Parts: sequence; C-alpha cells; structure tokens
Amino acid sequence: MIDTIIFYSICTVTIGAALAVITAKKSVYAIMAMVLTFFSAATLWVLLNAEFLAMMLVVVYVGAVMVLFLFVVMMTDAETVQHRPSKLLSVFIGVPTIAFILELIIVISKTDYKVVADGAAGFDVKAIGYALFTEYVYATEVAAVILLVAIIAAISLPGVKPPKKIEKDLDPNHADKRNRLSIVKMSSAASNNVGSES
Amino acid sequence: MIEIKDVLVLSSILFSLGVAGVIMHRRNLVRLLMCVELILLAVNINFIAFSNSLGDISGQIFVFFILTIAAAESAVGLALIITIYREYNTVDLDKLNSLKE
Amino acid sequence: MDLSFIILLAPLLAAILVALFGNKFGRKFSHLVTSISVLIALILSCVLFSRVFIAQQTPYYVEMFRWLDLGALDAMRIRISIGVFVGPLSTLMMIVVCSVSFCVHVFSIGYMAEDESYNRFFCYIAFFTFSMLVLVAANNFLQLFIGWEAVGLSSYLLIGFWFTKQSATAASLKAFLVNRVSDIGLVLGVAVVFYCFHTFEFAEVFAQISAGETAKQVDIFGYSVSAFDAIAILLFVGAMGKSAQFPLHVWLPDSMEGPTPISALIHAATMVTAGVFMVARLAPIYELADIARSFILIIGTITAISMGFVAILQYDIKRIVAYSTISQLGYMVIGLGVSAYSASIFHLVTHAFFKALMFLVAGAVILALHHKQDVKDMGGLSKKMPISFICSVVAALALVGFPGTSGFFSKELIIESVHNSGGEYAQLFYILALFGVLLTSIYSFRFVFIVFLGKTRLSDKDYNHVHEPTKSVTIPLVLLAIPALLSGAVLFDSLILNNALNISALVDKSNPLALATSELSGWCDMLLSAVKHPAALILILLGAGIAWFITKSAEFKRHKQFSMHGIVSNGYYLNEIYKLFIVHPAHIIASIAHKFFDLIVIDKVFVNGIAVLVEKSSRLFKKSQTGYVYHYLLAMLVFVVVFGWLSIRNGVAL
Repeated sequence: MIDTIIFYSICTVTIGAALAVITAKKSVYAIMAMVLTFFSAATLWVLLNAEFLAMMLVVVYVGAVMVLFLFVVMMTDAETVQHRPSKLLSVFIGVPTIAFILELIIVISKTDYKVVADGAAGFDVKAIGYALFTEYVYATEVAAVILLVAIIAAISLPGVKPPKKIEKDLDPNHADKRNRLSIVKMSSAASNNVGSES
Repeated sequence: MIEIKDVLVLSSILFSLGVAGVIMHRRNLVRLLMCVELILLAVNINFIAFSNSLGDISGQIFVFFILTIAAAESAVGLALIITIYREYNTVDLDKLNSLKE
Repeated sequence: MDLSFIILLAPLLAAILVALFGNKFGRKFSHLVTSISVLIALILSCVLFSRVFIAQQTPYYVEMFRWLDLGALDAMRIRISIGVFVGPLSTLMMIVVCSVSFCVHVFSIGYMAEDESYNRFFCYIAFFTFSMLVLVAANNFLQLFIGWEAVGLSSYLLIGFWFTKQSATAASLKAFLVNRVSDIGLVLGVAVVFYCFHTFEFAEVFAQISAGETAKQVDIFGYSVSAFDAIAILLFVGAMGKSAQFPLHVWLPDSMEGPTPISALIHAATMVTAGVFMVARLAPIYELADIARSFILIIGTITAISMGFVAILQYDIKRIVAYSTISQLGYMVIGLGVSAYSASIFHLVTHAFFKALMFLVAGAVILALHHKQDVKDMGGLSKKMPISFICSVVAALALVGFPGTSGFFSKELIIESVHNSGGEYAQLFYILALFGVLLTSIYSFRFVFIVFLGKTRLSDKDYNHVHEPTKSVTIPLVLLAIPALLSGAVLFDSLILNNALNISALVDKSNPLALATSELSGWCDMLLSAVKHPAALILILLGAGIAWFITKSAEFKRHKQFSMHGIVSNGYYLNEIYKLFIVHPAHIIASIAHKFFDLIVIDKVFVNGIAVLVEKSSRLFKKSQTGYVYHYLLAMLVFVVVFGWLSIRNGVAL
C-alpha cells in the first residue's frame, strides 16, 4: 500500500518536473527542474530494485552532467535565446503530443506483459559487476574507450582556437618604415658577369 | 506493489514530453540537449522496469551502458556548444545557418 | 586451333588500325595494312577452299565466341554463336569476296591517290570486307543478319563517301532507306523461321526438314499458309532489296555516286549478290516453297529484261554498268527460281569477276578523263588506253556469254535450266531469258563501242592528254581479266558436274539443272553444245551488230519526254512513282506529325508541360523542406500519431 502511494507521488513529481524542464522560462530553471526529474527517477529506480543504478544516476547526472550544463548555460548566451514558441506552434506541438501519449497508454493497457519475477530477488552491485566483467566485458571495454574519446574531445574541442582573420592594423599614424618599405636582396646581371669572369 | 504498466505509462509520458521539448526548444542548443537527456531517461526507466519484472540483469547492464554513452554524448555536445559559441558568439540555431547561405 | 577465324579478324583488325592510326602513319600505312590483311584472308580462304573442294573434307563450323545463350525451348538449348562455317558455298564466296576485294584495294591505291580522305576510304573498305565475310561465314540466321546489316552500313558509308556532294548523301540515304524496307522482310522471315523451327541454326532447320517437317503451316492475318512459302517469300523480300531486284532496285543506279572501286566491289561483285547467296544457302527451305519460287522467277525475269532495256539507253558510263548489274542479278534470281542454285552461284562467281573488271575499266576511264562520266564525251580511247580496252572487251565478252568465256558457262546453264524446268510457262520464260541475252549483248557492246571505238568526241587537247593510269590501276584489271576469261571453264567441272556445292543433293532429284547437264561430261561438251544450239550465239552476234548500228548512228540528241524512249531511259519513272506515292505522302504525314504531334503534343504538353509542372510543384513542395529538424520531427510525430491511431482502430495485433 505504502509502495503504491510512494510510487504515484514520485510519478507526479517526475512528470511535473519534466513539464517544468520543457516549459521553464529560463535555462537555469530548466536545469534545476531536470535535477529534480533525475532525483525522482532515481527514487523510482530504488523502488524497482535498482539501487546501484539509482546511485549512478544521481552521481553521474546530477553531480556531473547537470553541473556541466549549468556551466555551459552560464558561459554562453543560452539565456538570451528567445525560446517561447508561438501560440500556433504550441497547438501544433501540444495536440500531437497529447494524442501520442494517449495512444501509448492505450497500447500499453491493451498489451499483456508477463511478469516472471517480482523483484523479490533483486540484483546487488556484485551481480552487476560480475555480469559487466564476464558476459559484457567487451562492451565494457568499448564503453571505456568511448569515455576516453569523450574526455579527449571535451578537452580538446573548446581548446581549438579558430584562426582569427584579423588584418594587421596599418594605421598610417603608427606606421614605421618597416611597414612601408621593404628592401629585397636580388642578384643583378652585372654581379653575375663579374662572378663569371672571376 | 508497482504495476509494470504504470511505469511504462510514466516513461511514455516522459518520452513524449522530451520529443515535444525538442520541437519547442529548437533554437536553444543547450535545452535541446536537455530534452534529449529526458528521452534517454524515459528509455532507461523502461529498461529498469522490464529488468525488474523479468528478473533479468541484462536490462540493468543496458542502462549502465546507456548512462555511460549519454554522459559521453553530453560532454562532447557541450564541448561543441562552447566551440560554436566561441566561433559565432551565439548558440541560437536560427543564426547558425552559414551552410544555408 | 583452326585458322579460319583469322579470315574474319584480319580485315576487321586492319579497319580498326587504320581508323585509329591512319592519319598518324599516313597513306602508305593505310593501304599496306588493309591490302595485306585482305591478302591474308584470301590466302587462308584458298586453304579452306582446297580443304573442302579438293580434299573433300566434310563441312565444319568453327565457333569464335558464344554470343547469346537464350535458355531452353522444346528441350533444345538456343545458343547463338559467331563463327566461321567452312562449307563449299561459304569458302567459294570467301574466295570471291577476298580476291575481288584485294584487286579493288590495289586499284584504289591509284584511283584514290588524289583524295583527301584516303585513310577513311581504306578503313571503310576493309570494314566492308569484314562484314561481307561475316555474312558468308554465317551458320545461323542472326549472324547472317548481322553481316547483312553491316554490309548495308558500309555500303551506306561508302556511297556517301564524298559527303560534301549533295547527290552523294541523298543517294546513300536512299540506299539505306530502300534496304531498310526490304530488311523488314528479312527480319520477319527470320522470326517466322524461329517461330516454326525454334532454332536459328541453318543446320538444325535443314535437319528438321530432312526429318520430315515439310508440312508446317503458319497463320498470317488469319490465313493458314505454308510456312515454307511464307519464310521463303519474306526472306526473298530481304534479298530483293540487297540484290536490287525490281521494284526495289532504285537505289543501285544512284549508288554510283560513290567512288568507282566501291561500285566494283560492293555494288557489282559482292554485296548485291548477298541475296542470291542467301537463297542458295537456304536452298532446302526454298525447295519446299513452290509459290515462292514462282514469285522469284517472275521477279527475276522482270528485272533481267526491264533493266536490260534501261541499260541500253543510259549515257552515264557507270549507270550503264549499274543497270547491267541489275539485269545480271535478275539472271541469277531466275536461276534460283528454277531451283538451279548451283548455276546461280556459278553465275554469281563469274559475274563477280567480269563485272568488277568492267567497273574497274570504267573507273580507269573516269580517272583518265579526270572524272568525266558522260559517254557522249568519250569514244576512240582504244588507242590511248590499250590495256583498258582489251580488258573491257574481255569483260563484255564474258558478260554477254560468248562461248569460252566464264559468263558463257554460267549464263548458258541458267538459260538451259529454265528450258528444262518443265513448268507451265517454262517456254515463255526460256524465250524471255534468251531475249535477255540479246539485250545484254546490245548494252555490253554499246559500252565498248561508244567508249573505246569510233571517232573521239573529246577536244583534241583533252584527247592528247589521255593516257593509261598508273600500274596500281592496270594490274588489278589484268588480274581480274584472267578469272573473267577462265573461271568458267575451270570451275565448271567441279562446281556443276561434280556438284561440289552439294546443294542439289538436298533438293529434288528431278532438278532442271541436273537435266540440263545430264548429257555433259566436261566443259568441252558445253562448248560443243553452244555450236549445236547456236540460238544464243546468234543473238549475241545480232546484239553486237545492233550495238554497232546504234553507236554509229548515234546522234545523241535529246529525246522527247514521255516517249517510249524517255520512259525506258528514265528507268520507267519508278523514282517518280515512288516520290508521288510514297515519299510525298510520307512528307505530308511527317509535316503533320511535326506540326501537330511534335510541336504541340510533345513539345508543349509533354516536354515543356512536364518541366512547368515539375517547377510549379517543386516550388510548392520546396516550402515543406525548411531545413529545420524540428519541422521534420513534428511531421514524424504527427504521422506516428495518425498511423498509430489507424492501427489501434483497426485492431492490429499488439
């Protein structure tokens, strides 16, 4: 009973937070709503006997990714970008979205899902680690490499400066003779003749 | 007791909201990425729910990998946004149309 | 490895080499490469000829490559291959083609010396030799057809060789179009053959015939007719175009616009005889087609007689020879019509030599007179051009069939076969054929008299400049004069008496040719019989007398139009009739098609209409392609919703 009450309240919070993510006026608010979404989702995962992943979600997403988002919002002009869709567009988006949700609910309710285990056994960290390093060891390695690539990309990409195409200032007031006159050394016909004679 | 159908309905609502968000925030790159995260979260919830009801650990492993890749994707995506901002001084997608012109 | 395929490849290779490198390496390279390649082909075909004729080897087939594999029909695999059939008839034709072609190559070295497109000429002529060899080496209908069209193509190219001349391009186009008309007959004939026999191979068709498949019927427009008659007539329509039979002969006189060596090679010796060759090659089919043979006999007789008349009244040196060619082709066709296939082929061979000789003589005269072709301006050339004169006399004697010359044996055989054919009107055709001999005699001797004898009609200055052309022109004349004189006697025994072509074995036992030669044991007997039955000889001498009279009393005045004379000298106004009833309506239809169908329907409605439609609709649809991902995403979402709703409503199994 208490499970059900907790579940529905979590559902309410999650959906409300997700709505806030897409409707928030400012990006910073949206990120805060996103954090709330992730927290409530983590709670849900705990209810679904996935404690380790719930921790991962909080640590990785709330702790790292969302902070990253926050920094990016602060560093760029993301706040200034006008994001209010027009009324017409809102209808165009809202109606299909609601219809889509309704359809999905109909499909889900019509489908008969078989339930094998009721989560009584659960999976602890040891079981996940065992699966990761035995059955899915290659996938784990690939994931590790992808993470490495992502790290390198994340460091190097913003570090690459685009070549600035600013002309050297040739303000006549501050120009010296080096800007105006260049003396080039050239071989002359006469010197060649001299060289050949000698 | 949590019904699997209820979880699926929750995740489908999250998914739809994510899609709607992508359409709504077409101009703001950062929020677009956030909506993609929302979609991924819906998928993860589905995986967890099925893993729980079927008693199969594969679902959780998948979620593990999705989290990994999604984190990498966010990192690279945000790095790209920073790069774009440095080049063009904006992250407004409507102004990033140099290929079109 | 059999060498026979080199016969085909050598001229082709030479043509390609000259086409690619002719302008780089110059004239000497061009004529050397092509002449040597034809000489190689000639030597090899002599080798094959000796194998088949002297060593009596059974005919065999050398496959060069498999062209098509069409799968199985009636448990027979249909395979089309390109190759060389080494049989008596094919090898004989190869020798004729290669030897005449070689002479013409050598002749052209002198004749074309001043032409700018020297290399192109040799490229074409070598290609023609290749195509003709493909045709005669065919062992199936499709290769025959390829060769048939390829010789048509090279004929077209060579008639229009001087393409800056308006009349030459018109003549080449005419030749091409008239041949297309007749080729429809050939294609339909091949189609009927395949429909009836399910094969393209000659040998398989003949095998089915000898196995007793002699009563096949086909439905044509609802009428059930004998398949053999249908095939024979359709194929003969093809032959009528190629071999210039009345009324499809109109292209041959015009084709004289081409260079004279070409007229000798293509339009006298080889290509125009392709139709005769084909009928002889397919003798077993024609032997079962009585109606078709009657048709052939009638066409041949009309051609021989009517074109003989026209030849008498021509004043262009080449046209005289051209009409005489048509008339002689008529004789060959007469021979085919009475089942005397060997005699026709015999006449084909001898005719190839003496008519090529005659054309080359005409070419030598034209060359000596700086491209004057009107016989009204000639005469008395025998003193200035003795070799040409002697050769022309030889050619004329052979052409009229003077006893002892090659033409005598072949033509006499055809006439005797007509005599013995035993049909209802055999005597009528016999008399007509004899009358043809008189005509032949008149126009042949007229040619010699008017050009070489009598007082010259050239101005003194021109006359003094006339001289025999270079050696490369005179040597081929002599080379051709020898077979023109002797080939009849040499070939008579093996070709006719020993039946080396092996055609008659396939056909009826009571062959008129067999009857005609039953009492003969050698070519000497044939000569004696000419003395015993001197009708032809008398006609020849009479013709010579008439010719002499015509030339003597020739006043060369203009004749009134629409007199009998005018009708005949204009070739019975066939060109005008065709113009009125075919070309003119075609022009009208074409202009209607152009103005209404092409300009309005095609151009306005279809071409421009579609372009405008595409432009308008793409302007419309361009708006949907905004380039914004969210638009596409939105569209995707909407359609997922719509189709999801449809599938839920229709209760798709979930």
